[in-house]
Amino acid sequence: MSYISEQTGLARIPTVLVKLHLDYCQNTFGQSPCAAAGVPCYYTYPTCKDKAHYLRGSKDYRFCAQAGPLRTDALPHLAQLAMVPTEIKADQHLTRVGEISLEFYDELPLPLANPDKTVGNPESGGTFWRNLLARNPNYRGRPAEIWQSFLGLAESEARLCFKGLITNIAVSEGRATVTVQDYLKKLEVKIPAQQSSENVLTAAYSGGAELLVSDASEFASASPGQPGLVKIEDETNGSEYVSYTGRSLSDNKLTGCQGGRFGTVSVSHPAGAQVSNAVVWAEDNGVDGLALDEIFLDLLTAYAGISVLDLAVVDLGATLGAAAGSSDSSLDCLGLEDFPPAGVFRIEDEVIRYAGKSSGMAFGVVDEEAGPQDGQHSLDQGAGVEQWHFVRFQTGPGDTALDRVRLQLMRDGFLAGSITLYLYSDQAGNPGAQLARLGQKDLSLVGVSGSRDLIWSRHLSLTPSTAYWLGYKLRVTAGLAEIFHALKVSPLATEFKHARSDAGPFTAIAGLPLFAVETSAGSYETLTGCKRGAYGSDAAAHSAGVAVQLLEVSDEVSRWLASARYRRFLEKPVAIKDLLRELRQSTLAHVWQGEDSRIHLKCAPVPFFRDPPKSLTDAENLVHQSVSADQNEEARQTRVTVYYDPLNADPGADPEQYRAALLHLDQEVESENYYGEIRNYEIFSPWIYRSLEALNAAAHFLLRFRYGAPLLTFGLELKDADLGVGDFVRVSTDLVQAPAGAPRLQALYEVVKKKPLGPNRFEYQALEAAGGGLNRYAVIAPDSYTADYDDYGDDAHAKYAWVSDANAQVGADADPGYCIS
Amino acid sequence: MSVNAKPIIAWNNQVIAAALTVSTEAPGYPRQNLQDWRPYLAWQGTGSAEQWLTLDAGAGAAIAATCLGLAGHDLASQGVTGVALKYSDNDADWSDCLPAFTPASDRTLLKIFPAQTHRYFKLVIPAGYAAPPRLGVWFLGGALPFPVYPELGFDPDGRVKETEAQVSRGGNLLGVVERFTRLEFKVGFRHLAPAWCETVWKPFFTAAALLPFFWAWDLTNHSEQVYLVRLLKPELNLPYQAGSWRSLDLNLEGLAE
Repeated sequence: MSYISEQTGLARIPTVLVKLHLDYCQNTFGQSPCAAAGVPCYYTYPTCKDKAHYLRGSKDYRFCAQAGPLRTDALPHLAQLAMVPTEIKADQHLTRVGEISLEFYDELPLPLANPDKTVGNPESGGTFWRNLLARNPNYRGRPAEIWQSFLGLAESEARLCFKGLITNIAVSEGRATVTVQDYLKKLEVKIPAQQSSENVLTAAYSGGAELLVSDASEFASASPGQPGLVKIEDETNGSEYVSYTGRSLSDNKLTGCQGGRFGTVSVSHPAGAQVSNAVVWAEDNGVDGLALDEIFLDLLTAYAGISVLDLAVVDLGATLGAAAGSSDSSLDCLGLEDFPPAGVFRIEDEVIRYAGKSSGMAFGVVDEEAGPQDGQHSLDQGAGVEQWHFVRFQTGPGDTALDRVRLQLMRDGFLAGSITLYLYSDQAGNPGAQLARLGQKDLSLVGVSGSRDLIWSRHLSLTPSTAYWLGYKLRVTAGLAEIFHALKVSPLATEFKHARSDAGPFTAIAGLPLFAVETSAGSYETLTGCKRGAYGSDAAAHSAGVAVQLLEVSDEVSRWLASARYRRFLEKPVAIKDLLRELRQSTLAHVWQGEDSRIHLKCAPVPFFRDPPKSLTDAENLVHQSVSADQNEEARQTRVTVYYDPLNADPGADPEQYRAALLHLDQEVESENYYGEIRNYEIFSPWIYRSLEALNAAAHFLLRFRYGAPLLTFGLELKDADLGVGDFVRVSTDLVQAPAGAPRLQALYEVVKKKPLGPNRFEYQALEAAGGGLNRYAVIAPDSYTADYDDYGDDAHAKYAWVSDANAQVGADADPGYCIS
Repeated sequence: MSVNAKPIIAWNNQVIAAALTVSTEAPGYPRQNLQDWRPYLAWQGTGSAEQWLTLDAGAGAAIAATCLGLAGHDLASQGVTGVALKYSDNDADWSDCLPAFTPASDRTLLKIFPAQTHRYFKLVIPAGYAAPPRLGVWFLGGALPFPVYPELGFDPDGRVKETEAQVSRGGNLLGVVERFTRLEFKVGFRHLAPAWCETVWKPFFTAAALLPFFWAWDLTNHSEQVYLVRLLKPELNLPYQAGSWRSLDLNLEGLAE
C-alpha cells in the first residue's frame, strides 16, 4: 500500500497533519547556561527571563483533523482547512500567493505548558490557543507545513502539500484561525533599503578601501561573498558605484570598498556628497548583462531570504561518479547528457554553480574495455565494403547492464555511409549469436583529421561475469578516405578480432583497442568551475552515487534563453515581487510555489514537455457539472511593443526613459478578415538592453496571446490530483469543440490554478496553450523520423515538427503548420 | 454464552484528582496527560523495566473504586502481559484488586472488581514489553449499572460514516473518500424506578454530563464492546410512563476504534 495506490484507489480515507514550527528555547529553565530563577518561562523569547542565554530553536506543534483517526502525536484540533490557491496570471505576469486558512477548535490547555521540558509550568487557566498566542506573539513568519496521507499508511508515505509562513493567528470563542501564505510572500520586501537623504560622505572619497558616511547602519550588511553596493551622487565629478564588503558601525564607515564599479569612473568626491544604497545586476563593465537564472536566484535567495533548497530541481538521472570533497571545483558525474554547458545544480543540501561541462574527455571508467594505448588502426576502408570488427569484453560480478558504448573514430577525408553496432554472445572465444542491435550512426558524425566519440546509448541487461562481443559493421556508400579507430585508456586486457565479411574467419587484431563499454556505472563527465556552497547553501563532502539534480531554473533558461542576458540598475526601493514581474514580462516566465512546496520557474510557456501531458476525458476524469469554458477575450493581443535599453536606473513606464522600442505584430490577425482591430500590448522593460531579448519577449508573447487565451475550468477527483499548477494537460470535452461539432480532442492547456473543494474534489483552471490548436510549436525530431507528416500519428504530430507548405499547413488534411518559438 | 449483563457506565474518575506518581515518563508524555480524559494525550514510560503508576488519595483520604478502564493505549501492540491493579493503605503492602490480565487488543477496555476503598492504588505493567507502552486514559472509579436491559431495537454497533463521492460527466464513479467514522448510537431504557432515577441517574448527570465515560452494554458476553463515549446532547429527560415508571433515552457518541 502506497500513497499513489491509495490516491488512485476508488475508496480511501485521507488524513491531514499540520505542523506549526514555532520558536522554542533549547535550554532548560534555571539550568546552566540559563541563569533565570523564579516562575519558569514558557521557552519563548517574549517570556524569557534570561535573554542573554536564550537559544533559539524550534518546536513542532502538530495537529490532525478533529474528525479524523486518533493520533497520539498530534492534537485533534483541526476543524477545517480553506485554501486561496496559487494562481498564475499569465497575461499579467503575476502569481497570486497561495494561502491556507487553518481553523482549529480551541479547548482546555495541555496539562503542562511544556511537557517536553523537565522544568515548566502546570496549566492553570486560559485555553490552548489563547495561551499559545500569549506566549508566542512573535509567531509571524515562522514556517508551517501541511502533510497529506491516507489511513493505514506509514508516516514516511505522507506528502508535503503546502509549506509556507504563518502570517496571522486570530482567536475567537472556541476557535483559532491560522493563516499561512506561501514563500512568495517574502517577495514583498523592497530593495535596496531606503536610507536618509542626509546620509552623506563625511570625508572626501577618492577610491580607497574605506568610505566614511553619516550613518553606516543604513546600508545593507555585506561580506566578501555578498558585497554591498552604494552610489555616490556627484553631479560635478560624476556619480560612482562603490562596492563594499563590510561595515563598521562604531565609526560609520564602509570597508573593503572598491570604486568605479559597473562602468562608472573612479573619481574624487567631496564630503557632503549623498550616498545611497543601490543594486546592479550586470557584469562589472556595466554593459553586459547576466543570465536569467543568475538574477532569479540572486533575487530569491540573497534578497528575499528564500532558501535555495526550496527551489525546484529537475532530476535528469545524473549522479556523482566519485566522492567529492567540500572544496573540489571539478566534480566527476554520470549521466550529464542533458545538463547545459553552465548552470546550477544541487547535491543533497548543497547548491553548486558550475561554469563548464567537459565533453569528449578521455575515458576513466573502470568498465572500459580497451587494450594498449595511443595507437590508431586503419580499417583499410573502401567504398562499398562491409567490414566487421569485434571486441570481447567480460562483465564483472556487479555488472548487470550495459548502458552506453563509446567508439572513438577518425577519418581523413570524405566518407558516406553508416556504422552499426551489435551485441553478441561469446561462443568458444568467437562472436556467437547476435543479441541486440544497439543502433546506427551516420559516418558523417566521424571526425575528420581528429578523433571524435560516437556514443551508442542503450540500456541492455547483461549477465554478470560473462563474456560478450560487440561488433560494428561499416557500410560505406561513397568516399575513398580511410577511417581509423583510436585508443582509449584502460589497463584491461581484452581481445579484438575482425572479419572481412559476414562469413569470413575471425582474425585477431593484435593490441588494437576499439571500444569503451560502459556498464551501469557509466562514464564520467566533469562539471568544472564549480562554486561550492552557492546561494547560501553549505559546502559539504558527498559520496559517490548521490543524485545530481539540475535546478529547474537552469534547465529552463538553458533551453529557452540560453544566450539571453539581462541587466538592471536599481537605485530606488522596489518590491522584489515587482522586480520579478518586470523580469517575467521581459522573458514570459512563470514563477509559482508548487504543491511540492518548491518554487518553480518556467521560462517561456511553450508547451514543451519531457513526459506526455496527462489526458482528461468527460467519461473518466472530468467531474459532473464542473466544466466551463471562457474565451478570455480580454487577454487577446495583436501586437506587442517592447520599450528597452533604459536611459537611467528605474525608468518606469515612461517611453521617454528608454532608448529603443521594438514593435512586433501579426498582420493576419489584425486584418479585416480576422479580428479587424489592433490591440497593442506594451512592455516597459528595465531589464532588456538588446534587441534580441526584446524580440524574444515580443514574439513569445504574441505567439501565445494572438488568438486569445481561453480558460477552461474543470473539476477532478482525488485520483487525478497529481495534476498540478504549471503542468500541461490534454482535455477532450464536449465543452470545447471543433468546427465540425465534435469535441476538439486532446486540446492542450496549461494549469494555472488548482483549488481543493473538498477531500476528494479539486477545481482547476487551465489556460489554452496552443492558440486553440492554431499554434503548434516546432521541436526537432530525432534522426529516426525520416518520413512525411502523414506517416505518423497524433503523438508524433504533437511532439515534433514538419515543414509546412506555402499556406503554413502540413499533411493531406492541411493541418496547421508549426511555429518556431 | 452467559446471560447478558445489563449495561454499565463507569464514571467518576478518581485518577483525575489524586496525586499521581509514575515509575518513568518520556519527554513530551508526562503523567499529567493521564488526568485529563483525552486519549490522544498520553503518558509513556521509558526504559524496559516494570512500569507502575500510583495514585495517592492523601493522608486521611481514600479512593473508592470498582472499575478499571484504559483507553488510548498500545498495551497489546507492545506485547504487555499480566497487567495488575493493586491497592494498599500504607504504600508498602499491596493486594490485587483483580487477577492480572493481558489486553487482547489496543481497544478501550473495562474491568470490574469488588469495590475497594483505600488510600493507594497502583497499576503495574510488567517488564517484557517490546517498547515502553503508552496510555491515554486511566480510569479508576465507580460503576453505574442500569437496572434494566436496553429497549428492543438497541444497536450496539452504530457507526456513522461521512463520505463524499464524485461522478464523472460520463456517469462513472470516480472515487469516494471517507471524511470520518464516529461511533453513534441510541439506547432507550423503560421501566426505570423513580428512586433509581433520583439517586443514581440525576447525580451522574449533575456531576458528569459533559465528561466522557466508559460504556459497556454487555460486559459479560461482549467485553470487547467497551467504548469511551459522551452524551451527544446532554439533557436531563426522564419522562414518566404508565405505572409510575420512568424512561430514559440516551444518544451517545464516541470514537470508533
